[in-house]
Amino acid sequence: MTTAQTQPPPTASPPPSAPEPPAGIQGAAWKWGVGLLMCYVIYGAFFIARNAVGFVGDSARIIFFHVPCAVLSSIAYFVAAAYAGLYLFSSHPEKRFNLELDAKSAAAMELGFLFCILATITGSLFAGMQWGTFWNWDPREISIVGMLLLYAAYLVLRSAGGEQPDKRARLTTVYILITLIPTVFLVWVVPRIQALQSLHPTSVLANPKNTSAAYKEVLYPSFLAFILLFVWLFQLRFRLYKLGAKDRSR
Amino acid sequence: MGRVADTAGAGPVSAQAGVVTSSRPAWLSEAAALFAKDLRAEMRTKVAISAIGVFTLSALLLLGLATAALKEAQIPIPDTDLTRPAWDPAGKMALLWVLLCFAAFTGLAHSFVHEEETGTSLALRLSMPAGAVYAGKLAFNLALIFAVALVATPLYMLITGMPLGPPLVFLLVMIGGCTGLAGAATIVAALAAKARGTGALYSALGLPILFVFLALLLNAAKTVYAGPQPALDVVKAVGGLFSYGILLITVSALTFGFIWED
Amino acid sequence: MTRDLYFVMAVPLIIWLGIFFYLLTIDRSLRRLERSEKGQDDL
Repeated sequence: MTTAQTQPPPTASPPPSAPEPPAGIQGAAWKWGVGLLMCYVIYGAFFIARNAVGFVGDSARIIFFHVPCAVLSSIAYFVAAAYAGLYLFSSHPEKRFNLELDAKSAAAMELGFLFCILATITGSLFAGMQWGTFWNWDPREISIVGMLLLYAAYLVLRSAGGEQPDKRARLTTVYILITLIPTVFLVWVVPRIQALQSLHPTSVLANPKNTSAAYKEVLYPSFLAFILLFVWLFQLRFRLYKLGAKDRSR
Repeated sequence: MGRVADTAGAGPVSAQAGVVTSSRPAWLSEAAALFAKDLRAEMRTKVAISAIGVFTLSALLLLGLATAALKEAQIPIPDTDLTRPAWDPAGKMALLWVLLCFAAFTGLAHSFVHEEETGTSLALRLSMPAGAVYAGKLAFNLALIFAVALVATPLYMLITGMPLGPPLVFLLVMIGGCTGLAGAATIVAALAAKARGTGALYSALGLPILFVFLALLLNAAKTVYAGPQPALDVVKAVGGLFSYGILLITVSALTFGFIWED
Repeated sequence: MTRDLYFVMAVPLIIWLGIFFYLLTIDRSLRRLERSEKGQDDL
């Protein structure tokens, strides 16, 4: 396979003196920003936001943590699918079958799994407070549990994919692209199926008029904080991979 | 033979999906040759059909035994004198699809695993393009699943008392369901055959894909049995089912080459 | 009312625990990488 020969140069080509963090966002300053932003979100969830109409007690405050997790768990899948698509179909000769792209898709899938678990547990708590039952097969609950299964299946395939990194990369990226269809259906079709009635407050949040200024003040920073946290963890995971690849080639 | 007629109908679907290959007629005849070869081998050994057959029959018997009391049971609706069936027709159809999903996943892996085990996959790889192999295998799996559904559905109706509903909608749901099932099972079989730990991996990879499909089937089942429905709702439910299967087959055809050629 | 707030408190706590355990797995594979020169880690 030609890919076996083209693989080593990308890991060997950067000079040893090159700075570790990838170009674009540099240094640790923005990481301090994430830390402070997350502190603001946690403070704001309890002291800036007030109890919302239509929610039982203080339950509306869960939105600031649960919704970004849920959104991230589907975004992560599309990020992974984008890297998988580039890995298999890129016309750029250095990108096609470049194992770094496969590693990036794997990192996104791992993080997606993490945030999917968190969204499931926090969503279950939310449902318990709001509807008095921790699980009632609401369409959104079907979606999140379907995503959870897809992520878990991917990780199973990755652990069983074999010793050759090349072959494993091809099997796993193909699986991501195939399961993109269930994912698209889970994110956009299943929540709109009328036969499964929804108790979920999506429609309340979707209308900006229903959200008060105090909620926006906390919700938007919360999205930003969670996305930046995702980027940070993603970079950590990818740097770990690069270290492993360098180690293996030595 | 009903099975052969079914696959003739499935031909155009796979032909559209296989745009990867260049010359269509040659490619189509190669796929047909592979399909005929698989069918002949199956007629000789009957490995896949007997595995699915035994599984389906014993599952049907077990279901009949377990649901004997539930079949006709009625539960009272609170605050009225009316009753409703404890197990409604849509629920019965959902269970039929669970049965068919598991039946498909016991037998359909055979097509690729067999090629890997006997070492014929290398010869196959050299003799025809990946698109033809995919189309041939898909056609074979479609034939198999249609045959199973054709036998199992009437038996299931007999055992659980599932009504037919509007015949045309029922038929469309069955065809759409089988297409999606075969599409999912074929590509997952190809993936699992290439990875280690084939047997357990096959269900682990396939069932998450079928989970979503079952949600769509549940929706379609409710549409079938909900009485007269606006035409748009029926089109939405059945269309969702078909689009899932066709999208799955299209993406599989586009990516099959990457797992087949190594 | 105050009991509700404890439920809400549990949510950031769960998220922190999730991230914490993920960091532990990253730390573990990094340590394994540092220890073995051959680097037989599976990504």
